[in-house]
Amino acid sequence: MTEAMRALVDLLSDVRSKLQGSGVSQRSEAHQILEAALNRLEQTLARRPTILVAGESNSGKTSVANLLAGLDALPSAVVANTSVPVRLRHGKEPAVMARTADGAVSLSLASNDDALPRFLHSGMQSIEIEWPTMLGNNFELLDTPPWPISPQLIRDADILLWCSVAPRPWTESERQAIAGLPLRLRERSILVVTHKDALPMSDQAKVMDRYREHAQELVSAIVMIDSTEHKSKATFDDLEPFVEELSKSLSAELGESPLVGDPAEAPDTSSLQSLRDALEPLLEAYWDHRALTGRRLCRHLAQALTPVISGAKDVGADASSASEPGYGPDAAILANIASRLSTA
Amino acid sequence: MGDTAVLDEAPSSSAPGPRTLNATGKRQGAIGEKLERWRGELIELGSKLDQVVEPSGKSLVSEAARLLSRQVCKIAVIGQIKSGKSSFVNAFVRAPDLLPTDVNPWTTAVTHLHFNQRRSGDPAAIFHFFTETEWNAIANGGGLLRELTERLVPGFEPELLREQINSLRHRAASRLGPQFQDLMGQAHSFDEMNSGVLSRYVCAGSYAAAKPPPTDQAGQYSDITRAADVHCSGGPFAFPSTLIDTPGTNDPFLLRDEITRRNLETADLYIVVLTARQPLADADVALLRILRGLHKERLLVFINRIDDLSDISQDQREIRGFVEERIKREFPDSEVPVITGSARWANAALAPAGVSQPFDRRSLAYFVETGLMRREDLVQAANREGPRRDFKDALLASSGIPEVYDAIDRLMSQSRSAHILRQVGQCFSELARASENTVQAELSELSELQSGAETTARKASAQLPHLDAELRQLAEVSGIIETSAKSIDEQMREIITEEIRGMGERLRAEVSRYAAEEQRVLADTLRRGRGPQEWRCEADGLRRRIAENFTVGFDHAASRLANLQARVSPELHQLLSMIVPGTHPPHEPDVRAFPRPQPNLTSLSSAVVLDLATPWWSAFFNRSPSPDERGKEVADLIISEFSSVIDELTASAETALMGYGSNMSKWSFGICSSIIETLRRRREELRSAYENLAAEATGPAAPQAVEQRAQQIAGLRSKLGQTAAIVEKLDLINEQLQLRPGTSTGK
Repeated sequence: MTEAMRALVDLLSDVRSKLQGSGVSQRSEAHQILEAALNRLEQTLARRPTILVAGESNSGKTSVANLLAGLDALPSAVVANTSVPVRLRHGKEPAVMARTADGAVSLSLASNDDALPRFLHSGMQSIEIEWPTMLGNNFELLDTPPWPISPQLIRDADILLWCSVAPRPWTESERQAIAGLPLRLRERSILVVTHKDALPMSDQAKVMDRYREHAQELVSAIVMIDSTEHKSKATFDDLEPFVEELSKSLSAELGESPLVGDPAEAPDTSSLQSLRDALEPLLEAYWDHRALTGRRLCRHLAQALTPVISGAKDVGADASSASEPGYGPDAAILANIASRLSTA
Repeated sequence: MGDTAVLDEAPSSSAPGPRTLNATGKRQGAIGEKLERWRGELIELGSKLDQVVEPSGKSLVSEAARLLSRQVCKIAVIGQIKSGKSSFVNAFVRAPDLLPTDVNPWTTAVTHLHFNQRRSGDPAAIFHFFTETEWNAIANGGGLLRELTERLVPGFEPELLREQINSLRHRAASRLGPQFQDLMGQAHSFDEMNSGVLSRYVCAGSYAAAKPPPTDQAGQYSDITRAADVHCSGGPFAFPSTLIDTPGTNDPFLLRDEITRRNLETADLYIVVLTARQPLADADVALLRILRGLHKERLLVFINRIDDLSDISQDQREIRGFVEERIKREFPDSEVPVITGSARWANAALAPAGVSQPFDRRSLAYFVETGLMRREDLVQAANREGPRRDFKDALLASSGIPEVYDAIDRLMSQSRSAHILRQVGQCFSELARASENTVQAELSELSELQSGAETTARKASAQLPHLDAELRQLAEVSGIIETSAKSIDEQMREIITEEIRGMGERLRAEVSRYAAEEQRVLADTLRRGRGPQEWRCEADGLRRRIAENFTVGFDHAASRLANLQARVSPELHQLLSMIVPGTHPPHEPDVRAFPRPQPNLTSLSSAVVLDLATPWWSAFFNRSPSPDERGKEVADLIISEFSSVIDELTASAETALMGYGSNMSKWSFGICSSIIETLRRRREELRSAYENLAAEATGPAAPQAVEQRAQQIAGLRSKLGQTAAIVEKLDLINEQLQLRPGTSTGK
């Protein structure tokens, strides 16, 4: 959460306590309007950003989503189905839901290995997953089918992660896809170059040059990461020592290492770190933007209070003409709140 | 070095020959070996035929011979950027270091690798630079894209294209200095080649315009090189072939994309290279859709880089299934071979220094799994006991390249060249038979004359009126044939004109229907308040309908022509048997078996405004005020854009049908006229002989005349023998040429 956001949250809780401690009747119209407005405002402000993970087919979208979500893999029933958007958010208990036109259907996680029920494929609009490891991630992830995706998904997105594969760096169709996105989204976007490990070191730098030259102006950051799913499934069991031996003898003969893709390779943590580092300023920008919107809404609210205050004045004038004439206690408090809100 | 082995004219020793290529023994010979053998035999028979054929047939023979000697099968390798096209080409021609490859695409040049085509005196390589005009057309016009956007929104300047053009200009000028201007329109040629030379013209490498020129001269001329023609020896081909490496499509450097599209039209076969990691992405499908307009069964899909997959055998199967299914949807009625493989493996196996490319655990597991290597081999190799050869064989066998050779060989036997071979074979056969018949007739005539050796002047005088009558009859028949040839030509022209008119009307109606539908949909979308981004005109659907409609119409017209010819042929033969009594009528050519023409559909692939991507359209939508007006504008646009496409299509159909029709009548009438001409000449000779006889004193024939005739008879006998031998050989070749592997293309 950013400075601006914190200031705004402080302001709102200040206003709320002023309202509650004021003695303005809870049943009064003014109190109800103000409370409803504050609730709406807090809700709106607290909305976690949706990170849209998009790209052309097989560009590593799901891997990137999994990496950020802290998942080894999506539940297998889901993996087989990236033809619908998958929304990932934090939840205390793991839960998977398929959203259809008729509502949400909860999918049992016990039957992970089963394919999705057939009837779901036809009417399924999206899959929603709640996952405990998302804790601390102040955002929701939206893993999407291959580009192009429905405009609705783009409208709902706050931050974009565009996945592109390093072995085919930057195509015209990718450029067109990103250039066609609203500026609002491009201003908070990362070009995630996946499958870095498929290229030799020297080529990685060259590919980055190409991305920088062509895409820098379209996105806010470019990050290159390893592919996470690119792990060898094949082993030689009993022959493993021989394979090692062969590898050594070949590399001695050729002067270079012939074996790549060691199965004992540790999961890459630097990829996640660089992705998070790039994401951090975008999340801040998101919250700053939220705060800006919030402040504007506060000022609107202050303005909207003016007729209510004058209404309260009249009421006060009737009830207690003894004290300050024409200025009831409710009106005073409301004016105080309004002036506090207008400082936002 | 491996690269020079292919580039040098000297026979290569390090590159393995075609027969040794596949350890599994799948490959029997070089690509197009049979076709090349038949071509050679036809050329040889052509020169023999030239000796025996009547003078009137000589031009037909030499025309056909010229056609045969010029046959080249052009194979274009196309695909998105970074599909591994250049690696594939290197593996395919068995020269791992021939074309430079790089992680980033660079070159705008189209590289032609020519095989079995170098004539003495030809340079080994020529590099063509853009001419000033071409360069300016690109630099100032931005080519097709600019033209299209201009057509859509006049005065619209595509910023991006201009930037790219400027950077290209700047880079070329900075790299080449003042000589830059002088080089335009020039060509550099080399009598000897190596990949160092190649990399100065056709280079892949650093892309950034800001970078200083590379020190090693790599890519020195690459910005201004339009095309490279390189003659290679060795290679996998037996038939004269040209392999064309194109810049990739879907490149944000728009010029490259355009250069590729322009080159799509010129090839006979197409190899579409996909990458296993992203098989058949939308951009690939778009490319295939363009090709669909062009060709039906001249396509092969190679899914490269299976070595990138995490579970090679499993993923490979899935990917191939996916691609096959998708292709089936795009090309419902044709069998497109889909082959998976890895050019990297092939290149590793072909590298002269041994296996220099790293190959990984997954690959090894795959080789063991597919039975290409035994587990023991791994152990043996590890213990340095086993032959290193096993690795190379396994790599090569699983690279998919041998399968590609087989598939290309099959496709080539259905290509335009094969079609021409078939046509020439049939024509030769007709000519040889006609020649055989006339010689036969003449021979029997002379023999008869000789047997009545006591022919006297009286008898000769009595023969003269008969001969005169025969000559008159011949003149009459040849007159009939001439008029009927004219009338047939006229009828054919009438049929063609009628068919073409009908075709044009039907196609235009198709476009109008489509335009009306799009107008309705767009206006509807806009009225419901939806943005234009939800409407996208898929010109491909229209292309498909046009192509279907066109093909049906074309086939109909061609079969009408064939039927006309089929009616005429028996009449011709009847006429001939009338004037050549006692001889066999010329071998009846089955007109329906006459090779069908293949209409040219290239104009269908010409880009139209509708192909432009959404961003260009937004400028268009910003101008027109009401939904109905916008709808109307789009409908007009569709009609006007496709009007020229249809004009070109029908014009090409007309040309093809005219050629087809006149070819058919040229051959049958040509052969008949040739027979009649021969008969007339012989009869006139005979007549003058009789006249001489009649003038002589009564008595037995002069011994010189008898001797002369005996010589003539001997000459004719030997000629008959030769001709019969030619006919026999031609029959054999034609029979083999008709046997086509797979589904037949002709009817």
